[in-house]
Amino acid sequence: MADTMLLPVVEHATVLREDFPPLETKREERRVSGVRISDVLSAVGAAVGSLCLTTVIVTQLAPISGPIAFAAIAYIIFMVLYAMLVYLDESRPVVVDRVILVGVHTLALTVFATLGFVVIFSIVRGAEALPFLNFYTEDMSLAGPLDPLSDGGVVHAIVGTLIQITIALAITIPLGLTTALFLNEVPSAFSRFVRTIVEAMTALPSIVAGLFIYASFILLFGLEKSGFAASLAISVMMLPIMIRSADVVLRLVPMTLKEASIGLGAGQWQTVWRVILPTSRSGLVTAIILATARGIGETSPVLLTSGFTASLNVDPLHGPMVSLPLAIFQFVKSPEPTMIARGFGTAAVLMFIVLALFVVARIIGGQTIEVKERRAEGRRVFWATVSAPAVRATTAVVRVVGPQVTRAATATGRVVGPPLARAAAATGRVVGPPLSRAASTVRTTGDSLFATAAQAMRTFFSTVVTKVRALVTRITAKKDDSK
Amino acid sequence: MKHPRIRKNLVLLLVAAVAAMIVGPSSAAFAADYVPISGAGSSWSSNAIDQWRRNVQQYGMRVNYASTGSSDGRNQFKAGTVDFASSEIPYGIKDGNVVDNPPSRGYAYMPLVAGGTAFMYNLSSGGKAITNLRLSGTVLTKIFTGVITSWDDAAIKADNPGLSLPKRKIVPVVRSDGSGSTAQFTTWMANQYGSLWNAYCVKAGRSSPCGITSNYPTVSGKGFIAQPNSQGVSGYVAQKANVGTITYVEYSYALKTGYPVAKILNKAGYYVEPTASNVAVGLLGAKINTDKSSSAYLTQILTGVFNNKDPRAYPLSSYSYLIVPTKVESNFTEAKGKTLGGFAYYFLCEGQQQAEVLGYSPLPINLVKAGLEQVRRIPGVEGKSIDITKCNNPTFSKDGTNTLAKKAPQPPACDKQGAPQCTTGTGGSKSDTPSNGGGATDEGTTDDGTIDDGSGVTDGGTGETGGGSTTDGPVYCEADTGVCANVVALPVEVESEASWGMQQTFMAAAVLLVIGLVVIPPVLGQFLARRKKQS
Repeated sequence: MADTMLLPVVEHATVLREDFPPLETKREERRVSGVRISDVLSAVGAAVGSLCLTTVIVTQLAPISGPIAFAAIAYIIFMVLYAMLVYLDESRPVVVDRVILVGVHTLALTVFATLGFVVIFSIVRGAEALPFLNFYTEDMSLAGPLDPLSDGGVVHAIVGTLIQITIALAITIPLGLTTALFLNEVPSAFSRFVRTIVEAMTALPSIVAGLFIYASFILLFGLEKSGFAASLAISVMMLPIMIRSADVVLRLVPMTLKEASIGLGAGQWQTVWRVILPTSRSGLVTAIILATARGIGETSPVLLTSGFTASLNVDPLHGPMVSLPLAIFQFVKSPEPTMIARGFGTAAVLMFIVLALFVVARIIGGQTIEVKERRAEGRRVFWATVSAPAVRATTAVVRVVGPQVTRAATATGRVVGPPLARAAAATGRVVGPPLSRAASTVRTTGDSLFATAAQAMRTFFSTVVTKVRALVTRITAKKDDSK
Repeated sequence: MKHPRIRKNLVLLLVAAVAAMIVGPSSAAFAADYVPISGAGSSWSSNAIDQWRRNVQQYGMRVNYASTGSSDGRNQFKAGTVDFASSEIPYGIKDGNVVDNPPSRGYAYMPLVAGGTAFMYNLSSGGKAITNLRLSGTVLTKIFTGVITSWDDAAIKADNPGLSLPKRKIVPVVRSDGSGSTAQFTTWMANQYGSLWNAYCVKAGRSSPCGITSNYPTVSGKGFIAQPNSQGVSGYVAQKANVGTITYVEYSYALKTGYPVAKILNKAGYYVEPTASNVAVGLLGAKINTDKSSSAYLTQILTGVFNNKDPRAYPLSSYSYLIVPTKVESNFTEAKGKTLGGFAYYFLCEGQQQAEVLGYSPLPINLVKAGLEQVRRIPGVEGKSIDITKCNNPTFSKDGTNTLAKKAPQPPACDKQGAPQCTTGTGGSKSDTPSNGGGATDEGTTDDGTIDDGSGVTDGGTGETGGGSTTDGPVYCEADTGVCANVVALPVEVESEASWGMQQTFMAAAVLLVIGLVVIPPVLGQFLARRKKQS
């Protein structure tokens, strides 16, 4: 409101005097948005010109062959021609502006084209395998290298991927989010140390994660090569990404919100549960998505830990279980064209599953408080319009039937009620106070425990740091002495 | 209030349906009393194992096989994480500078499937692919040790009198990962051309004698390309732009990618292709370590194969092993032994029928007999006394002789050393390569385009369907003598030169001039017009 009140005042202050002489040259305002016909025409003209010129150069002048060289030369010539065309009717700053704009758009387009190429390439190469319904419903146990595409499919890999990623998420979501909370809520030397470790872990090569699980769980503890071992290896890959991005998201929660919550009397735990987590919900879902994206496409940790099978296995604890990336890897290694087509088809299936998971996660995570309230409002309106006649009908029925029922109920109540009420009151009198006392104790204990633990950790690390520092000073002092 | 409950019920229903769908078929698969087994190793033999595990599924056996490479297979078997491994080289060989120690668990070797190491290449002359290249052992070794570096080398020309070879750099493509194909190829080089191979190894920083290795040593600056996996090397050679490349790979990859393989000179003086029958004939010369007390029992001694005097024998033939446990240890149980034994009985006999379709060669009789004995050493196996005559292995007949080797066709005369070479394609490339007639005076049948000087007739492009003969084209006949000569010279493929010369400068100048011609006039005009306006 304050802004709108101010505006007229400003306008009054900047009104030009009527008696000023009109300016000689009218400077045109630089347009920063909108598309004019001349913009489109110069772009199209430059494109056509560059195509023709490049064709002449490639076929007549220079010994250049291949589509990549053609595209590169055509692009350079396009930029030159476009700059020229813009220069014909614009000033120099506008030319620079336009050329940079086109350059930036090309970069964006390149990224998009790369993505599109990857997606389209695998769909096209897998197009042979994709139309077969058995590709989605059968496993490969009855399909060998010599069998046609009408036999066998990748359901074992689809199921394997879903099971492995579910187990990995069951491990990483609680662990990752609580670690991120710890990093934010309990700032100390230890949390800084953990943060450094997490950052280092994001750069961990994926094969090392697989080796770690292989060396520890499989070789040392004698766990079978299984879906569970693969999930553990994937978890190692996913955890740092989830912690890192959740940590960033939690840091974005406004301090004022936390202060308000604490100011209203909430404990640290309550603030976390009621304020921080709901506020950063959408961001946390993004963190989970990022980690899932990393985990679902990993081949090398799975390669060492899950074993390989051509059959469906739904038991993550026993026997090898194959996931989609591993299946792709094994398929495309085969010399048989049908197997390679299956590999690319599997890649397309993997991309589709990832896309579907993301859409679902976005829908769940995108529910901000406003959206939720809007939906609740919508539902209320809907019920009001739909149920109004129903309510009226019910009321009518009730009005007719009601009195009798009421009378009957009252009679029953009069008979049964008093003893029941008496019993309830007695129970309540006995059980109630201790229960409520216990509840409040739990609540206070939780808060104080959280605080104590944090405090203890802080003191412990500060003592450790002081001791180390003292030690260092002593050593350096000794060195000085010896000198 | 009702909505959440309905949704919950729906979710439960869905979960139940999915579970039923998943559990249904898998429980049926376990109907027979075979325990699933898993193995890992050689990608060389994985195509065959993959087909066999699919075939034994009908008996209720579930065999899981991961083709992670033979080195990994041996390591995993040693660590006890797999029930069997497949490998091309046995334990105990010093590879590079590392000795691969044998495992502490009881183990035995069993022959698995045979095959020849093929040399797939991508070469063209005058815009037409060459499909009938022939190489002698020395030349082959010199190519892969960087001694011969150009395709028009005199030594290659001597092997291929009928080909006009382009002046192109030879790009040998080798495996960057540890692989059985490398092991098989280096076994041959170390055995046959030890001095060349050792000299190369020393250059690559290995100790001499180099011997068998599964990691191909590369010298930087030699122009060798290293690619992972068979798919990687064959895919690299199969790229249209990579003319001049040659690699060693399983025959099946050359067949499926549609590229030719080199015919290799054997000790009988014939150039032969690694077809199933030629490999089977070659392997008849294989000696097997029959000393049962030796840990290397049943490992191959291939000197006899490399020096096989049969004109049909492919010299680079070998077979891969299955490494099986002989004791109940680690995760291995007698129940698993039963499955493994059943699987072994299957692939030694019936399974070998499909070896040829899969790009391999079936095991000859001597190896199958030895393998059947090894099966009995697996704990828990259901010992079968298999009558060798009813084994259904295609390589031997009822009387126990090697049928395939008997029936294998003799090589055509044009494959003999010194004779004008055959024009028929090899490997996956079935198109012919017409001979250029150089030195092929007595050929007669396939000499389209041969200049028949003196007679005044040129029979260009008669019998050949390809029509891409190197000497097709206008013919100029002298009016007075009647002597005709080919006007068109032999097209020579030259690699684009990396150096920047006068020609390149002029080309760049021409390009810039054209662009300038389009751009400068309007820009200059506009510039001058603006200046005029301003002043």
